[in-house]
Amino acid sequence: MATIIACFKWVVDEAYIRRGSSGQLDFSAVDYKISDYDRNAIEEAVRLKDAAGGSVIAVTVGVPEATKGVKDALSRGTDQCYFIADPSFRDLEPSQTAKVLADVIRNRTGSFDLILCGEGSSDLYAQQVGPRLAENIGIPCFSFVQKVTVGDGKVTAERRTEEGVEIVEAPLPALVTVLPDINIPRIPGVKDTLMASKKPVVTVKKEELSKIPDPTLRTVGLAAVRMERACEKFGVDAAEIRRFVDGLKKRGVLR
Amino acid sequence: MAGVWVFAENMELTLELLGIGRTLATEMGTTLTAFLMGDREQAKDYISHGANEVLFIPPLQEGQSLDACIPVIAGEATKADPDILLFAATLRGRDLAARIAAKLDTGFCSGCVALRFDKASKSFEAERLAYGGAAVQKVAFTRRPAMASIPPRTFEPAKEESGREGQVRDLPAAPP
Repeated sequence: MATIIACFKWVVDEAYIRRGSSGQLDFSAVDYKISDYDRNAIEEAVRLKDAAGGSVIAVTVGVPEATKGVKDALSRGTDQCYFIADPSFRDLEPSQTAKVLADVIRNRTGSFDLILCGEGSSDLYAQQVGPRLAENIGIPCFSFVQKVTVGDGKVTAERRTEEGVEIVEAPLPALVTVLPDINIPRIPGVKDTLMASKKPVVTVKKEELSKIPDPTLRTVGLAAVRMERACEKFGVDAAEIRRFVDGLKKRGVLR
Repeated sequence: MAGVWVFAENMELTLELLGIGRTLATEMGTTLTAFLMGDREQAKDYISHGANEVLFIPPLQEGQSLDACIPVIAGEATKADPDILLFAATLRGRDLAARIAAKLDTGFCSGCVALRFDKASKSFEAERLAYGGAAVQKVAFTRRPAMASIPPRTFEPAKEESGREGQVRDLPAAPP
């Protein structure tokens, strides 16, 4: 009977971001969603619970308006949610988010066996909160995992690397960050959504936390990517193809 | 000032980091240090490609994963206080760097695609992609050391130059 914590982030849906006339990002018409990979983390937590019993606690750090995300997480089969909310949490950077999560997981959510996170968030995709959180709590961490099993007091994970798949195990409690292909997240039905409203939500305010540490990184600019076209034309004969390949090499696309 | 440090899990990636690392170190007027795992013989290649110092991590024991290097690298960084640590942004590298950043309690720019040293303010400015590649996020570091992971093939590999000299130092084996 494992207690699993699934962390998630309520993010801007990047599909709604527009590019302003002077290259700035236009967030005026955006919608929000649970970060894509965090949906996989929630799904995996619920699957592990369905297979072996136990419970799943969803945890998120965000702005107070993220209640829709809390309900979404609960409708995906988690049992309760810790909602750490403050208007100033919109711009937390990864080291701060990881410390806030560590504070709440150490002091409030109770004992646990496994923490699951997405491999990164679909907005900033820094891929740091999971590994930093594991270090902050002082538990083993496996990142970029495509398969995870829990039993006999340990977690076994298939971790992806460039050279192949590494099978690793560690004693519980541990933290695992999951790849998107670990599962296909469910689409909550009407019944799931109705049930979600009855599940407990613990709201944690900033005042109840230890002091939020200063940022270690500052965002000093955010602008739309400018696509620059080289406007080079290539033919199809051997010499032209060679020129094309050389061009790719020169730009570091091929080596 | 303990300079620019680079870590990658293989030679090809280390040479790329030595490329940008050499540029930074020269601009900053400091030294370039590379971690080396596996074959100690490669230290001379790292030196001829721009490293002033090579820190050799003894081979891992059977069944030990690369994670075992985390306390070794973090321990050396705590002792020597480098200006910046660069990692290859492979799957392992990204994980390792994030955990070392947590240990050192410092800022880490992951997936860094541009990196420069501003002589006037003596600080680094890094760029990375965000929002699924739609935006460029510029970040500044508020603590020492700065940390960044760099995707393979972002920067030109270092060029070999004969006559370079450097030191090799053996680090303690990774704890089991």
